Amino acid sequence: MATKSLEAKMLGKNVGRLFLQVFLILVGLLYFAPFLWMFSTSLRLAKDSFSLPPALFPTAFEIGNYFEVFNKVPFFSFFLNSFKVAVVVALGNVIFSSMAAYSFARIRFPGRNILFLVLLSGLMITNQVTAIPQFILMAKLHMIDNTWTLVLLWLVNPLGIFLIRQQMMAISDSYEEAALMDGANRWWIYSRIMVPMSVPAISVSTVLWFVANWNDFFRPLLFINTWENMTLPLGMTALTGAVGSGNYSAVLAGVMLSLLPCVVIYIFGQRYLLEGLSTGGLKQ
Amino acid sequence: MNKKFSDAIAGYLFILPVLLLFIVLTLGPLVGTLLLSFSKFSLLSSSRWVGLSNFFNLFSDARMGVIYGNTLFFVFILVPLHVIVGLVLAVSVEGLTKGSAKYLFRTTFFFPVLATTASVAIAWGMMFDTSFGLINWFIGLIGAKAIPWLNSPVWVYVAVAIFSLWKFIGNSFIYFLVGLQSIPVELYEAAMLDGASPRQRFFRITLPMLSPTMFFVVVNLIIGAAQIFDEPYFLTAGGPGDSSRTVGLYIYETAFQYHNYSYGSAVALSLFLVILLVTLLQFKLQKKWVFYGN
Amino acid sequence: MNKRTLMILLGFLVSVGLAVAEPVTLTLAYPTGDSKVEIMKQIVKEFEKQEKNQVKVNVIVVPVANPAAYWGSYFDKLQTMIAGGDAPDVVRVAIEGIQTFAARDLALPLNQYQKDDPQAVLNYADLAPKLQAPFEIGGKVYGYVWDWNNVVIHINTDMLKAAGLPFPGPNWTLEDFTKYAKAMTKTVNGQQVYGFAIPNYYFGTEGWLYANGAGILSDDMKKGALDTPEAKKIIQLFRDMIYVDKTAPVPNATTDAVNLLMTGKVAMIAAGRWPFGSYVANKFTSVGVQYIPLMKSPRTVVFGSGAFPVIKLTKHPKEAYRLSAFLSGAYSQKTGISIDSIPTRTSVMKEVLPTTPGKNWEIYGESAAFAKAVQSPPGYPEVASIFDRYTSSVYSNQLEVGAAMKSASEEITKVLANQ
Repeated sequence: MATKSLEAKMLGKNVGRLFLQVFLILVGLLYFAPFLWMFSTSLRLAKDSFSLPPALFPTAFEIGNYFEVFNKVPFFSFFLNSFKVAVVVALGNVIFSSMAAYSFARIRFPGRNILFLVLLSGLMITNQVTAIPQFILMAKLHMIDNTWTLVLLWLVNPLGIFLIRQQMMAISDSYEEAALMDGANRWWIYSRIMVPMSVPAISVSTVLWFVANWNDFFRPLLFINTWENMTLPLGMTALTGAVGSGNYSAVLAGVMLSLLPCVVIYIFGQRYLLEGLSTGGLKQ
Repeated sequence: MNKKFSDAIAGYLFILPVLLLFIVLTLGPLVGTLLLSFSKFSLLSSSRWVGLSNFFNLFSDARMGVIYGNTLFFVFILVPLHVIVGLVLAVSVEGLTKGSAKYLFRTTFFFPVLATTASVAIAWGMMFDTSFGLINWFIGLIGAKAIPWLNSPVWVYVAVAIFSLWKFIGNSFIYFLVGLQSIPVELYEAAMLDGASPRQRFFRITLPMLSPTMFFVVVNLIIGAAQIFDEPYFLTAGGPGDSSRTVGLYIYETAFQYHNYSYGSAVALSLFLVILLVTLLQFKLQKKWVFYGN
Repeated sequence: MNKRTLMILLGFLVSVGLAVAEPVTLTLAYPTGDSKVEIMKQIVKEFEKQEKNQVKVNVIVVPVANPAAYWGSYFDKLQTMIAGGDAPDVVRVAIEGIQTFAARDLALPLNQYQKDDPQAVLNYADLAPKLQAPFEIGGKVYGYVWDWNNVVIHINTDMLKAAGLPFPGPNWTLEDFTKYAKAMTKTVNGQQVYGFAIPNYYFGTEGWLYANGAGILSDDMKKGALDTPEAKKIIQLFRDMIYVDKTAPVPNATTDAVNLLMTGKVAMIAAGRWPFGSYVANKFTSVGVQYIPLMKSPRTVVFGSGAFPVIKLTKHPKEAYRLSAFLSGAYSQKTGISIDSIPTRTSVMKEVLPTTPGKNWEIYGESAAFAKAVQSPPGYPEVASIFDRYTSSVYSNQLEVGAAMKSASEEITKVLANQ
């Protein structure tokens, strides 16, 4: 009797498990389907782009659409600008955020706690709240339409400082004490001890910050005025304007092209991201 | 040299780059917004002080009510959805998959976060088209009537929610996934020995252990949802009428399309105060539901 | 000659030489929506040649991200550039913006320069007077028109044939139009195709309103006039085509009517000559154009024209004037406007229009005689945005036409009063 009900329970559990797995696969497919549609439609002739049934699998192979994208807009410039800004911003995070994190984690100086809270409150001071004065400031400084302006606006990463500081606070004092006894200065301790030991937190914050910057649309929308300085998100809207009338396939080709760098970023970044999240974690 | 003094110097030196930039580019502009909201500013001619008149306009602006309503609606709809769906996906992927299947699922759910928002939003706009879009075609296949995704004040929310969940679920998903991985297995083993059911294990162990992560995710989601811009901008342009116009869109429109920087600043200030209040509330409430033990 | 004198003489010669040889550089700003950068570069090269390379022109493209608020965003960008000290010298401005430019004193009046140097404009009389008029405000000339567009009905002739209908004549009535729309709304291969795509944009709607003796604004452009019976009739017509006759699809912010016509999803659209660029690029030839149905006599067709005003802050007004004038010249018009808008010079129109690959292209040239400028007051971006908001609510079946148009007109009047 007992065995039978245990078997039944096991069967029920397995069926339930199977059910959930199928459900998960369905959801996964739903998440993937839009990319498939974008890809297949980008290969259709312009006049078929909106024809139904919609393309889930490529049936046409109009690669010309992809060339059209490069013809109509300086797509490569868009990509380069995005890349330049995002990479510098990422480096900025690695250096400046970790410096600040070290100071907050390990150096006692007057006003430390208050300054840290103030910096953290920066998370609540959102894009739109600061956009107008930032814009006016940059306009007066003649720094509108300058990709370096975009970099400057992204160099402070309160969340990154927070995460790295967390990790640094968990590093044992003994390393520092030993180094101090050997006569090392703060910079040596920072660069030779603290940074290498906080690589997980630094990686996580850098990857996430890079991605956020890569996708930033609002700031380039405000601060960039000419075609040559546009970043990819802004460039995509230029593409829609330049080609949109009558050629959705080319627009989608542009969409696919703009996703290629993201794939590369994912392949390189996801290892750091996940390793970093599990060790550098969110322990409060 | 006095240690305290040299520490102070070192301390400030290390935070100097970040501090300077923060003061110039974040705090300064915050004050700037404050000042602007009390003036009538013009880029090409002189500005003048107008006291509270921008705020009077704010309160008498007939559109403000709808716009704030939309924004708060998005906050109250999107935040719980992101938390629930993210959690469900994380628990499912963590518990039901292994090895390369796990990698595949992680990629599927996280990749949209990386995808260029502008690009995919344009594509989703096409998919949502009432008469010729992909989604309504599928709906037609199962015999239902086409849904006016981007043309009805009600369905517009659903459309934005669907897009938002597809594009950004990866964020909460990944945090929850990692949070789940860091729950010590011994806790589950001990519970199973005590005869706890899966449901009990979930509610007594998983959720409490995840609560710090959840707090972090919720705070970020609320701040993000309050200033939502990209999704309505690309999908609906705020329409139809004002049904999907958020405060973020309205600030942009007022300041950068009508050149009314002062009024835009007043609206921006109001948004900041709302976010500040809600976040402070969150921090106060966390004592009630966030579990920091071991 | 002693060494000192030699040095002074040398210095003098060098500075004179530099002053003579130093070319003037001008910046020409162009919005992204009209993707003609390469063509503009070609045209300015010709200008540089004409000026014997004493003037160099830099073409910059200003990104306009949001098609729904095109001119508002464009002018904001231009204003930013001006405020930031990076003012371009010559900018492309269409009729929607010239009033704002003039009102904010950003544009340079060219009257004196034209008097001093009339050849630069090369046969001023060749510019169709009605089309040039919007750029002469209060007696001041702000630019010389380059291109223009109107609003007519484009018809997919394949769908026409399939419905067994003859190509409509110029005096077809609203009833004829409705009949055509109904006849061409059907299911093809299991997909719904529609008779007409509603022109849910300011310019397109103005075309229909003018045809019915109405307008978005009052004639003096001081009040909103969407609540007149004639205006409401048109908006109601559009709304009913969507929800009663079901001969039109529901329009979105992102709907592209030209695409719908080309792909056979919609049989008729309201547009100017601009779609022909896309038609040619996509090898779509089954198209014909006809006037909007005749509702009130005499016929009125809406138009919008564009020119290249000079920014007042320019450091090289004479050269900028010459560039502005050159850009409206025959070479520039022939090279730049061949397919997707209409040249404003009568001589060029005669040459270029016959190449339009669509039936009944003659109406483009004819309509210049009875065209009426689209109403673009100072504050146009805000007015257009109010228009968009209320019409989108009506076409989404959220508001009644009467109430919506009344509120829209009131809001518009308020905005106009604040300018």
